[in-house]
Amino acid sequence: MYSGVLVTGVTVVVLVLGLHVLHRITAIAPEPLHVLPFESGRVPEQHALSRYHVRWYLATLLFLAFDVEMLFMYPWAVVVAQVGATAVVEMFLFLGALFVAVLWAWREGALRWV
Amino acid sequence: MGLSDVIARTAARHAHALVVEAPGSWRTRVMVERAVLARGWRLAVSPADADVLVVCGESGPRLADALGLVWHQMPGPRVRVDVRRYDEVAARLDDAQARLLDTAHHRDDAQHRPAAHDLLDEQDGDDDEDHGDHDGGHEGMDHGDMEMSPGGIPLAEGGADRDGLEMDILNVRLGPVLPHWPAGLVLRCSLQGDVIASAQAELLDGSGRCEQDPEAPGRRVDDIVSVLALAGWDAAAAEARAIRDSVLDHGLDDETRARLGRLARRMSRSRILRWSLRGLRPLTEQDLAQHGLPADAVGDAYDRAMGMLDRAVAGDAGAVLSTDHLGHLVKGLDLATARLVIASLGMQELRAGHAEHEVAHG
Repeated sequence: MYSGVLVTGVTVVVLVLGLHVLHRITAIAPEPLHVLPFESGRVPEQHALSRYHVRWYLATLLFLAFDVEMLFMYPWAVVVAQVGATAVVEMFLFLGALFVAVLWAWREGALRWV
Repeated sequence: MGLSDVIARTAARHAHALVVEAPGSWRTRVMVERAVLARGWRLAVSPADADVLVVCGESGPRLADALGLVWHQMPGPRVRVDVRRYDEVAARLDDAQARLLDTAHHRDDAQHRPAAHDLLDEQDGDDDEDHGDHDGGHEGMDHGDMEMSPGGIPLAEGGADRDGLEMDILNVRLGPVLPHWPAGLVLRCSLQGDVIASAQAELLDGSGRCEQDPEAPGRRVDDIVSVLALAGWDAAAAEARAIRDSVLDHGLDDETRARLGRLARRMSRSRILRWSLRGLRPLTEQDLAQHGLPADAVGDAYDRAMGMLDRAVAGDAGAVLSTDHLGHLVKGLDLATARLVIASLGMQELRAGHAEHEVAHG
């Protein structure tokens, strides 16, 4: 029953290993060349990571939290009319827990734009 | 083997050349650009893109350091060529193409070239010469100190920006090795986000002999090439380059004037060029007096760019700027705008300012 999956898996593994071995044999220098970022003839003084403020990462985490919360709300929305008030209260408790995260991000300055 | 020879020869016919101009070698650089494009090669914009490093003219010690670093950052196969005078360009480029085909040499070069941490140590070694701790740099990088240093380069410290928001300050150099950039100029910018909070301009190795300017029309057309290329209009920049080459060959004859006129009409009809250059660093009469700029630099970058065409036909000399003022002119702009503004000034010669002299003798 699983013969198809097995054959595919084995073929893929053999192909990938074969490409890897081919690269190791034919490449002049198998390790990639690490050079520093180009700054017109001088070694850079600060890392380019600093150009992206940490607030973008915090905003992304906030989005992710609310995205997953939205995922939980889809089945809830289907049954809330039948279940009644308890469902509403539970959902608001869940949203309250998420709001703690928003408060934290607010205090960290992630929501400052200008 | 026959196949690898064929592949190598085909690849060498399409090499990319990074052209670096030492101060005082304008004509050599123009001849090199012309020769590179004529043999089907392309002009590279950075060392990662380049196969051949062409150095035009004699480079001083500091430019030589910058070139050494750029050489390390070029991936193999790589060839370096020094062109001293403009009549040996063809011979040198033929030599470069022949050296590109030397596969055994490139194989050897690939296995014995220094890695990134060697370059960092070299740089740290120059700075810490007085302190005498040569091993400090290597070990500090391994266990990461107190601050993070990914790859050996530290992260930036913060500071208040022009709106009072705390942002990281990055010190970036727009340096000697940059296309469409005045030769020998290093602009040390303090970047916050994309905006240049402050900048100091510096001239590497003095200003070089200033050639008398018999090629004034050619130099003005070359400035137009820079502005058009930086604004992103490659087709018009190629046409301007062709006009520059014909000015160098025949001088400003009737046919060249007609071509310049057609280019001028094309530029004035272009809405995108106007939209790109309008409002960039408008200069009033007072600004001109304060910064020592000539009278035709009034207005914004679009006015200056259109004025360049008139100056090319008239054969006027370009602006002579001091490095003191260049820093003020780019303050508050972002990087792309700063490059456009500097190109729009149409500099013929850059002189070291008073601040630099004090630092040198102080």
